[in-house]
Amino acid sequence: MSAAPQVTLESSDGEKFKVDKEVAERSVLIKNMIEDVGESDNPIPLPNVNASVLKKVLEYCEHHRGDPLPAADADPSNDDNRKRATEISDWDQKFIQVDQEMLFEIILAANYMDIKPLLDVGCKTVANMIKGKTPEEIRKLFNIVNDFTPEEEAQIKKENEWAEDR
Amino acid sequence: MKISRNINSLPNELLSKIFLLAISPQGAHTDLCRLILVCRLWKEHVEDSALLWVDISARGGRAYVRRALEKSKASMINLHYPAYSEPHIELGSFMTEAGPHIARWRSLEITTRQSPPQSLERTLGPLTTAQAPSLESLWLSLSARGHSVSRNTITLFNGASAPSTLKYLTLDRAQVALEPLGLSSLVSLILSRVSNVSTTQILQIVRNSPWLETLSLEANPGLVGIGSQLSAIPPIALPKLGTLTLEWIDHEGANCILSTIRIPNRRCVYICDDFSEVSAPSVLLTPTIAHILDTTIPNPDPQFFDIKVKVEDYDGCTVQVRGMDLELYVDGEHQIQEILGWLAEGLRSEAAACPVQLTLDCSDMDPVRLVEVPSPLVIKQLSISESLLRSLLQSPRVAMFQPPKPTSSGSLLAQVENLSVKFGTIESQEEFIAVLRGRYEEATSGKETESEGPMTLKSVELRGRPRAEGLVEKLRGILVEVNVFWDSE
Repeated sequence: MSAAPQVTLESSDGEKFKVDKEVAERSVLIKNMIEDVGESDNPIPLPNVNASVLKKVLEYCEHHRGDPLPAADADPSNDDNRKRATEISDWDQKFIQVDQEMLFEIILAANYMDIKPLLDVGCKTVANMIKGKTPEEIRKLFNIVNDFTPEEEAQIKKENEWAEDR
Repeated sequence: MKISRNINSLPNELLSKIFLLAISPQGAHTDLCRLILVCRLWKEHVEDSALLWVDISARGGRAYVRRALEKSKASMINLHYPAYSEPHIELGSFMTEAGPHIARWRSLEITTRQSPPQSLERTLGPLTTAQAPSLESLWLSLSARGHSVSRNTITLFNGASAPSTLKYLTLDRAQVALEPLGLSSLVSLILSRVSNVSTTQILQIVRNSPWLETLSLEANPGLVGIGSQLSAIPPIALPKLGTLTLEWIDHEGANCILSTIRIPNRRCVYICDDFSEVSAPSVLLTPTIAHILDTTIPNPDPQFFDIKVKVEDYDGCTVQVRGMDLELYVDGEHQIQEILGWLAEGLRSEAAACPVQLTLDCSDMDPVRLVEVPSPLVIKQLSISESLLRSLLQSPRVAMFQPPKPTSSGSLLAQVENLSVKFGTIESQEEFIAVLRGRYEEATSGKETESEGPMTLKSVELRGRPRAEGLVEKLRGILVEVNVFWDSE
């Protein structure tokens, strides 16, 4: 039996990763590159993804290598789609338990490499961190500076009186 | 140079995606405000993202509704008027605000518990006077306090057909004129306490809706038998239908619907009915509806094929089998026998392979008659109170705790494998031991012949409190090869 075809990916910091083509092709970007360039021994450069992030992304792709490919873009504002979107599988939850910097790096890498299911997992995780928190708690969680003056803040609250607990 | 990532370094489209996931459709007005107050960047972002404003709940009041209608720009919108929104904005005002945007309505959900105003049609405004060309989901629950039902018939869409986009329709106490809507292509139809819908109308709608996945009909008084007309109606195939509910529908009306539709891929069927004055097999449980027992959908539950029967006080009886759930009110043991007889006949050759789990939680029915299930059904599991069990064991026909005798065809409970007994007192536990000892020892004292097989009983579960010390050991001493244990409660 012949070995599965492989491709080599090169991270922004020059590290090379040899992976099964099937795993690499979870990324629509890489799939399209392979289709455009054809079979080649040259490494595929990923100038926006460093080695530690790429390693993590490939761990995800390896675990999900046999999954069906995601459907075409569903309307994100549709209730059903959003309800489905809040669910994260157990393995994915464990996978995405990383520090915030790595979490945002994974989201950016998934976006750049066009790996929709991974992008969804990352965004859902951040959304779940935001849900139910006060503005102050959100700032603290993400280390965001409150750049409103007290007057501006009071004005915004006034404009948004409809948001009082109802 | 290494760039330290934080949430505000994400591009706008990703921040939008995250915000969209972080707001709940029902609480968007409060969620959005929390996001706006975090920092300038978030405020600008939220205010510029039309998709974040598409869930428009009346709970936010008039100012929010206006702002969300404006901020959602050209996006499709989901309008919610939840119960008890009146203090924030009246229904009529909400509809007036939303009216100019009717071309963008994707869903409209109205639940009001206020007494119906004089002219409900006028209050619903644009819903009754204009077309909603992109509406996918409509939910109208117009119940007044005290459960009164509005008698006003409401004409939607200015009397024109419903848009072809309409897939989900739920009407609760909303007397909508369905005929002009020419409903077709529905995925879900839920009608509760809608008095002006007839059986022929329902059959017409489901015939035109081959993609129907959910059909729920509850207490709709117009759904009655249609007599000889039924024979002229060809069967209606609903291959997508997964969930069917018929609750408090006239027996013959329900029978007409079930006789006509074909639902080979259904997952669950729920029927709730009252047979306290009629014979179930003559009005509803006829052979023509036996097809609802079949489904092609596989179910991993090993007990999927078991027939679970529970008889409770207040004449309630539930029967569950293959995802079908019957909640029936009866006036005697004979009716439960009739229902099981319909099941035995409907399951045909498979009936013998469907073990019956019988739970008796009743005090006013004869347990001996209840365990006499029609052939070829066989009770494999019995859950019962100690007092009822004692009544049972007084009958010489009850063969439980005896080795089965192939020739004794009139014996009852000969094939029970699992018994669960509930006790109320210590005394009842001691009495049970005494009865059991007498019966079991009499049955096994030197009478065994080669034609008798081993006793089928495999386990006895003991339930209830208080628990007599040593009860398990005493039972094990009598029922040597049976697993006896207290439940883990």
